[in-house]
Amino acid sequence: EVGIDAALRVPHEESLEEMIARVEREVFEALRKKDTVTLFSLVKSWDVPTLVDYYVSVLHLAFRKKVEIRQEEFYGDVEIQKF
Amino acid sequence: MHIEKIRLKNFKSFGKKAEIPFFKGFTVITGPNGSGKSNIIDSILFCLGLSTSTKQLRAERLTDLVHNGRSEAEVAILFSENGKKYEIARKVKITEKGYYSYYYLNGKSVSLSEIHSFLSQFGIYSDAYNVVMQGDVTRIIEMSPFQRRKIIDDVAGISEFDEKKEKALEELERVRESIEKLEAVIAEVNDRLQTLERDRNEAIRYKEILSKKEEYEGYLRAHNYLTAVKSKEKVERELERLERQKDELTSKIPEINARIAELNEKINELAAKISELGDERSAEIQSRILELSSELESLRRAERFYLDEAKRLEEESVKIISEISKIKEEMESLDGELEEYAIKRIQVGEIVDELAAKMELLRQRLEEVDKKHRELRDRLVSRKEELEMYKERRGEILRERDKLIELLRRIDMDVEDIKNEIASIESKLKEFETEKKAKQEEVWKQEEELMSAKKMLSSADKKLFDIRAKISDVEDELKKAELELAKVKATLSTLRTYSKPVEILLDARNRRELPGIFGTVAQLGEVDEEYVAAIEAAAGNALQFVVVETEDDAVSAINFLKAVRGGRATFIPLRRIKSFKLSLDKSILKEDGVIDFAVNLVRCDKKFQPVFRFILRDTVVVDRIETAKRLMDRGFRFVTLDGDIVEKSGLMTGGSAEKRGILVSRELLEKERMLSDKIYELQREKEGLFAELNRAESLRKQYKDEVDRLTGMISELRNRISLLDEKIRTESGRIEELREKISQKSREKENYISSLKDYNSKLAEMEEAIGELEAEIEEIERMLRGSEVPKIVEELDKIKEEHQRNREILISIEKKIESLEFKREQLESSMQEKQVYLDEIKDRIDEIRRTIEEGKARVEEINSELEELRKEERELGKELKGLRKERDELIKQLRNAEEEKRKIEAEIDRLEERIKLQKERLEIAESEIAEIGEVEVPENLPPLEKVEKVLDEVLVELSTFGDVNLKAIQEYEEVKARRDELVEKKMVLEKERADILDRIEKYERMKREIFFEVFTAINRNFAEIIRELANGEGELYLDSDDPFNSGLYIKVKPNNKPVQKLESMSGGEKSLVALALIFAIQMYKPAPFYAFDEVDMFLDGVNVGRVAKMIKKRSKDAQFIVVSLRKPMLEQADAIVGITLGRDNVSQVTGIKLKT
Repeated sequence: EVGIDAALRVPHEESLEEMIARVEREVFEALRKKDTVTLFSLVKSWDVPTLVDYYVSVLHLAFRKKVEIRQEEFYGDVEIQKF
Repeated sequence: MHIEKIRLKNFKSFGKKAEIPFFKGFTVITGPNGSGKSNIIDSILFCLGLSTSTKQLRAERLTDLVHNGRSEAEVAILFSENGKKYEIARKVKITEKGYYSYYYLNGKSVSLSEIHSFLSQFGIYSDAYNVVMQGDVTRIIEMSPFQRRKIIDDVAGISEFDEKKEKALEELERVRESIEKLEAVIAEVNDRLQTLERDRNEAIRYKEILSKKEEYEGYLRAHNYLTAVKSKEKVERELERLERQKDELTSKIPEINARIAELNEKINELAAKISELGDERSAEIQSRILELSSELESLRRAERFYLDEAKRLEEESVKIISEISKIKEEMESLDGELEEYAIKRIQVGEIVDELAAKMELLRQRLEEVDKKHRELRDRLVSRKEELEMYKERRGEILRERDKLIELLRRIDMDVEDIKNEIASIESKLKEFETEKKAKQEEVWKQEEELMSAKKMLSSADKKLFDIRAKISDVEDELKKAELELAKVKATLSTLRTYSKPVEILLDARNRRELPGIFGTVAQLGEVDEEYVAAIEAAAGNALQFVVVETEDDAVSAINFLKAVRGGRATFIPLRRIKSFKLSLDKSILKEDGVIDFAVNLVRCDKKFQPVFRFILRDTVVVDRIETAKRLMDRGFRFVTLDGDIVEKSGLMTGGSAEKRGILVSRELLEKERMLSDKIYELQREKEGLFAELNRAESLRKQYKDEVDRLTGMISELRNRISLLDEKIRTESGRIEELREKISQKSREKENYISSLKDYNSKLAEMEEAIGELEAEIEEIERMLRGSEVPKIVEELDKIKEEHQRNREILISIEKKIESLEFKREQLESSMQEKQVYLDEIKDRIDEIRRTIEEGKARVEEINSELEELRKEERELGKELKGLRKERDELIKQLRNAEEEKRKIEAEIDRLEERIKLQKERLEIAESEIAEIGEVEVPENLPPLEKVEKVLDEVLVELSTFGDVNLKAIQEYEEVKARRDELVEKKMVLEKERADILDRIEKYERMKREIFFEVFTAINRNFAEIIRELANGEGELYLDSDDPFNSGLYIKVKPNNKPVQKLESMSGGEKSLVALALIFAIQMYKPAPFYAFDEVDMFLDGVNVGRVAKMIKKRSKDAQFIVVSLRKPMLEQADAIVGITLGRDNVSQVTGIKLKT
């Protein structure tokens, strides 16, 4: 039962990929209008779960070389640009 | 205290620099897999030098921590505690040779253990699950209950007690070894102490005895003093008694003189008789015995030889007898054969007669049948008869001739046999001759040896007699010297003025026991008669001093006196005073009445001059006491010719002249010494002569044995030679006989040969006549052919032939008989011959027996003569012994008589002397008293016997002591102190051991107590956490009373579900329980921060939420840094640190705050 597959499966069950795709769409929608968007500007309903979803998704997008991120001040807003 | 910031430089996926600030509460680190989230946890482990049970940054892996392509990496963690900041940093640097790594605390380079000790102040430990990896959770699930219990052990720090216990055990072993070593040393010291105790007791006893000895020696001196005083009194009483005795003795002398003369005469007579008997007659007997013994020996050898010969002859006679009986047997068998042939002869004779009758019948018929051919027939018959006759005669001649030839052959054979026998006898003779010659030569040789041996023997005899004569001379001389010495000693004993010790010493010197003693002072100097009194007085007591060569000689003499308890004497070591100088003021010699310095009046060996200088010093001899008085102020010591003395101090001694004493006896002493020397020499000579005598006697015995041996050998050889002669004679005779036989046989042979010639010529005549007759018969037969006659004739011929054949058989039988008879005759003659030889041998044996008998008779004769001689020798010996004894007895009597006389004379002299000598004794006694010195006689003086007894006992006991170890007393105390010290040390160690044992027990106890304390606390925490996490009940339990032998089991009862054991739970449940256990442990040992690396991986969503809530709740008290991908966890965090990969595949760190 215990193994890498199981470990990887768990986040999927929480439909991480679905969320990433949604955030990706939103990010690229926003990036069509300007070069840089910020994380906080993307999060519309400001609650912890949403923020977490957006943040995790942006991290994945950056990991997947779709975007580049930058944070001027640690724990401040995150700037997102096209890769 | 919490982590405020982590600064990374070239650490793993974090290129260049990265700084991550942390909040005090709950921070989740998240990011896609592979972005480097976990590297942050690793950086904490690296920097703080921590490890978890599943993750350890091994040294060889350290270089992997450096970001790809860089040469060094660094992690720094900034802590904050109530406003105070601390920084811990660690660098790892790759070099060409490898790498190195450093720790820094607040910028200072420190060691890992310093880091650990710093962290431990704040409750941060590896084993307290400060940093928990997913692996740790899995491990807790998978490990055995026993291993799981060890977690508690670790948390409780049980190993610390185990280490302590281990150390204590080591210490215990050390202490035990020390005790054992000490015990061995103590045992050794005790042994030593025992020995020392003995020595000490001995030493104490020895000291006691020494002091007792001193005390009793004081008593002895007191006794000596008293004795001296008493003896002085005794001397005074003695004087008057002596006068009375003198007269009594004087009358006895003439009678003794007569007795001595008589004894001397008798002794001389006996000596003459002894010499006659002893020397002459005994020598005669000796030589006769020698002669007879040697004859006896040769007779014995001859007897042995003859017995051997007789034996040999008897053996031979037996052999011959057996040969004779063999011949007899042979003859018997011949007789049988002869009989057989006689029977055969009769049978064949009958056949012949029968055939002759048949022939007659045929002849008659022939006559009848043929009348017309009568004439012819008659002629034929007559011719045939004639032919027959010739043939018969020819056969006879042939037989005779054959007989002759046989005889000739036989003669040749006999001659050959005889020749062989002669040859064998001759070779035997030759052997005999050779042997005889050899024996003869040996005899000559032995005789020569015998002669020289006899010469040696006689010379040895002569030497023996010489030595005996010498011994008797020496013995006589010795006796004389001893006699004389006894006289001198007796005389001396009356004059003896030396003290007892001096005499003892002089005796010892005379016995050669004490070398280095020259003698007393008196013995060494010589003084003219007129000065004797003066010198004696001047020297006084010093004349008794003993002069020795060196101090060592004096020491050995003193020791000798001690050993024999001989008393005291004074010694002058010559070497010591050799250079004693005197400066004499010669001016005094010019004064009237002055004679000379005393020292100049003593004549002595130059060597001894210092002695007299030393003793007499500047004493001046003057004529009279008046002269001395006149000159006494001149500062000299004077002595007068009368022996009066004026000392330098003015002290004057004098009176009537005393009898000459010590110096006068010098001559006698000289004589005594000379005689002693002589006796010593003579005794040595006598011993030497006896040794020589022994040697000569053994030599003589050797020669005598040699003579005996040679005589025996020669006689044996001679016997052998005469036997050989006899053999040669017999064998030569036998050869003569045989030769005679040969010539006889030759004559016979000649005769036979001439008759053989006759037969041969006759035979030729016969052959011729037969030839003629046969021709004629053939002619007649031709003429008679056709008639019946030939047929008859033919039959007749046939029968005749048969007749002839049978006759020949008969003849051959007769010939065989003849030959057998001849053989028998021969056997008979041989038998007779052997019989004769046998008789001869028997005669010879008889002769030998007779000779042996004669020899035996002679032996008896010799033995009886020998016995007589020996008897005579014994008697002679006895007589001699008697005579010698008588002589010795007489000598003894003579000595006694002389002794008696001498004693009387001496006694008289002595008595005369005594009267005056007593005064001198008195002086000696006084000087002895002075010598002993002032003696305070103790009041309770024990009797002398007791004193001596005690001293003896003391000395005996002292002698039983070997080397007394006086140091033993001190040493004993020292060793005892050391022993006590060691025992004390041992006791200290024993106590230490008990302490250690206590300590070990205490550790055991504490270990258990602490374990249970921790276990109980963690169990309580666990129950609480399970209640919170699973809304159920949880319990930890052990399966044994002994916790250290027990496993840790987990039992959980979730809400509304049956009780479950860990083993039977699902994967998620297991993870949850394991995590609960980790929380329980963390609660027991709270730390300021915790780091979790994806511990929620296997939990379902609900449980992740619960765990996250729990973390959140606990983050009020401690900082939590949790790596997680799980949303419920992220949602509970105060802040999220996100990790992703940036442009150059370098980890990029960002963060968002979830709480304001």
